[in-house]
Amino acid sequence: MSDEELVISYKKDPKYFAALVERYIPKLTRYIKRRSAATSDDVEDLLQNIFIKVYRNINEYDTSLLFSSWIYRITHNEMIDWYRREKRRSTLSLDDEAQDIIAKLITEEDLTTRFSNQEQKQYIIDTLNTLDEKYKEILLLRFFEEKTYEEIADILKIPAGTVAVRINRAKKQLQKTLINHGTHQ
Amino acid sequence: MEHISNTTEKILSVIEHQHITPRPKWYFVVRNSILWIPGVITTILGAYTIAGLLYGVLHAPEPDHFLLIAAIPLLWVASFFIFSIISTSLLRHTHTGYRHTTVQLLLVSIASSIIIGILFYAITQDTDDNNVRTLYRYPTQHQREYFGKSPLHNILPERNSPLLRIN
Repeated sequence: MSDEELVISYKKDPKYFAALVERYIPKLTRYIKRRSAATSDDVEDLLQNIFIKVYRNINEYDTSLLFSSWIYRITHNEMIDWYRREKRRSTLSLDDEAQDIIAKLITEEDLTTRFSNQEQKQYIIDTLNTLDEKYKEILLLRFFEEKTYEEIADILKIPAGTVAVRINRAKKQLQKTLINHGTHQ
Repeated sequence: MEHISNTTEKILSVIEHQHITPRPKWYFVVRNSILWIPGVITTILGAYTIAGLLYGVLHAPEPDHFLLIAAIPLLWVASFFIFSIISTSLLRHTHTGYRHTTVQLLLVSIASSIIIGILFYAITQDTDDNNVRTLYRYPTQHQREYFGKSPLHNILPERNSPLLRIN
């Protein structure tokens, strides 16, 4: 059963909500952890707030949109509120799995020869964290969550053209910082 | 569901204990409609601006270079742009408004204003009811009177400029 079918079924029978929650807990937990240095308790609180918002606003969901885009949008907004409440700046905290994605990112940017070992990959994560918030967010969604431009546009509520421009600028900013670092090595 | 995790159980239990219920569909329909109101006002303001402009240009007894400037109902144009800024930012919060750029939204608003403005002007020209036309006539007439009284009128070729003579 697709997410969208599950939502339609849930509107008729609330027991399907548990299935939606079960399906999205692992994905959203990974996303929240990558986006922040939140503790397990923080993650649980955030998940609770997110799913309560989903439950409360389920009638707002428009089936022309992917359900995953809608729930990621709610998560994105909840994270922003959380940073404000906690007076924190977002910090990417990438897991082992993300190391492979970094390898892919630096290959795409032709930086493989300069950044191949573990220590240098950590430097890339640190550099990602120095990027502007909007660039950090968009790179995370594109390369780590593997969302399409249209999905990112729906999550961040910006035009698809703006997504392309931001990704391009984010990659340039990242590449510039990494190359500067490489030449100083 | 055969098995649900602890986190899911907690979430479901909070929903149950706090008696949380989904907001009704009409709540979102009303909210979405409210966000469109400034957009509609912007288009109406723009339409009146166009109708006023047409009136100013087409009802001058003699052509004049200064005519075009005096014919533009500046107050209405300013209101149109202020409302455009407000409405484009609010339209971002509608279901699909964010998919378009600010320039696209502005162009649609301006194009609709021009079409509605021309139609409005054309329709009201045939009516005998002056009250219908007063709304878009007034800013242009008032503005011309202002220009006539201000030192700017000295740059006009004659003291009794055609700009001041309105049908």
